[in-house]
Amino acid sequence: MSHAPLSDAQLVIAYQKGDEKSLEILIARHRQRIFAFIISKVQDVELAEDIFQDTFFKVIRTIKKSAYTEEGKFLPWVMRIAHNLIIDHFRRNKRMPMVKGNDDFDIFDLIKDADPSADKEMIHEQMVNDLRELIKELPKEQREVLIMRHYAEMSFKDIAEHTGVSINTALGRMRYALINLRKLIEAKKMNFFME
Amino acid sequence: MIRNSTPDLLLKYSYNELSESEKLLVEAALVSDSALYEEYEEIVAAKQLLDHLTIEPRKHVMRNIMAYAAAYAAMPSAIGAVDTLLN
Repeated sequence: MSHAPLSDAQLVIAYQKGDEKSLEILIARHRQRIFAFIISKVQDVELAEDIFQDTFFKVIRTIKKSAYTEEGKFLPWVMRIAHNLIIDHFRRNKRMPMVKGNDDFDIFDLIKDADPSADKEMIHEQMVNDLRELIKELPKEQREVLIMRHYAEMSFKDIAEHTGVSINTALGRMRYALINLRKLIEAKKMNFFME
Repeated sequence: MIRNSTPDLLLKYSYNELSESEKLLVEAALVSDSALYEEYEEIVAAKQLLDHLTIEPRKHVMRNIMAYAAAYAAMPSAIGAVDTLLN
């Protein structure tokens, strides 16, 4: 017998009643989108981890105090908390958030294999390492849009707003990111698409 | 007509960001234009490639959050007071 996965709202209620496993599921369900969003803004791995952690500390307090009123909108609520903490951080440090970052930004050292248990682990690991290197070679603006769209799952409209460019520019950057990825693969004679 | 705005539309289509009417337009174009279909396949292939990777905080961050949750469950008022002092 299979069960439909619990909704975010059901998990929040379960956590409020003391089931900590529900919190773990909520975090696991949304961690990539939230973390990718934060890192796309702060472009620093350790700072992003601190903000991610503080975001969930606030989530925990709010839910446990029964002050959570966003039924059905858990993810946007958490994203708003993260966004506010990012703004607080930059206010405290008296500099504007993001988007420029530095060229040493190395989020892709954190990127992991999404399927580590495969039988062809060694080949797969090599492929993942090669891909990670290829993404790091993309121009910063393209890499940033790629992270926001593919990993943080932000819409192109949201990306445009967050990066201060037009939607067409955001789309163009994503398109060039994908084209360049393909070119790099061909230039290095890699074959990622083989079964 | 669709050809001029194709790259952007294809990208939005592949990320499911089009309205129903725009989707129908793109799907009709994909059926009748093999070059366009090839472009679409390239996008899909690149997306599948990117799916091999994931961005996550390191494990200790998750442990910290769960430890905080456990501490908060045990002593909410004490943890809350510490947080108030810190923030």
